[in-house]
Amino acid sequence: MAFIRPADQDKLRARFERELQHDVRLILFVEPPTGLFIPGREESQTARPTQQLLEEVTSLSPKLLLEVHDPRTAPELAARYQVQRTPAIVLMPAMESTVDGPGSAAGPNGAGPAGGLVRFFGMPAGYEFMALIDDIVDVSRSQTRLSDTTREALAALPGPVHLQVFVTPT
Amino acid sequence: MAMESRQVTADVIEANEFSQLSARYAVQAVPKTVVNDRVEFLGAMPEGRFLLEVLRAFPEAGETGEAGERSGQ
Repeated sequence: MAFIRPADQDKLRARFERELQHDVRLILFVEPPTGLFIPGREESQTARPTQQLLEEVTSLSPKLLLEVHDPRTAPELAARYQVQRTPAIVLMPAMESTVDGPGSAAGPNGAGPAGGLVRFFGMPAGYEFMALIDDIVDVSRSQTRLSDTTREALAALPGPVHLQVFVTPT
Repeated sequence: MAMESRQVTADVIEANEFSQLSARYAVQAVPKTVVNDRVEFLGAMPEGRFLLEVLRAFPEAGETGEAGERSGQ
């Protein structure tokens, strides 16, 4: 059964058709459950549903490219995007890196020409789902809806910023 | 914000799914935002206010703001 209802699929398809410009990579890191208990580790129960959800989303536009990786078999890639827990979704403009290997000339891979990392941890359900869709559109258009004042302040940040926004799917 | 600066990493974290991480940051209500493990605030905010909160993670850069810093957990 699909997570996204047919009516919503139609709406999303139309919105993607209307608003997407450049291709967007959705890089998904999932660890399918092993059934083993590892102390200090939270084994994800949402690996498969998250992958299914993203498969449904990316099927709605040819501009959305889904890549699925398991950090246990692709540790370099997980390290590159600093993914320490799964499921994790990294949004990237497809134009940013044509060759998928570490040490690309572009330096740290980001969500825009001047961008840092945009990541979602956990299954993006409920309200978070719309945040994911909005971010996909922003990344595709290489623009945000931030004011000039905010943009200038961000361009002049004195150091790295790590934003962690905790949400629940209400 | 992460789209505007390479300096920014923006994570959206499903709090229920990562209970250990949520516990570490004492997440009792959402949305809760943590900036550089130094500044935290609850709820949605207008853009300008959000930016000020982010800049408070750099007190040495002239922004004042002790009140919202994590109280030694």
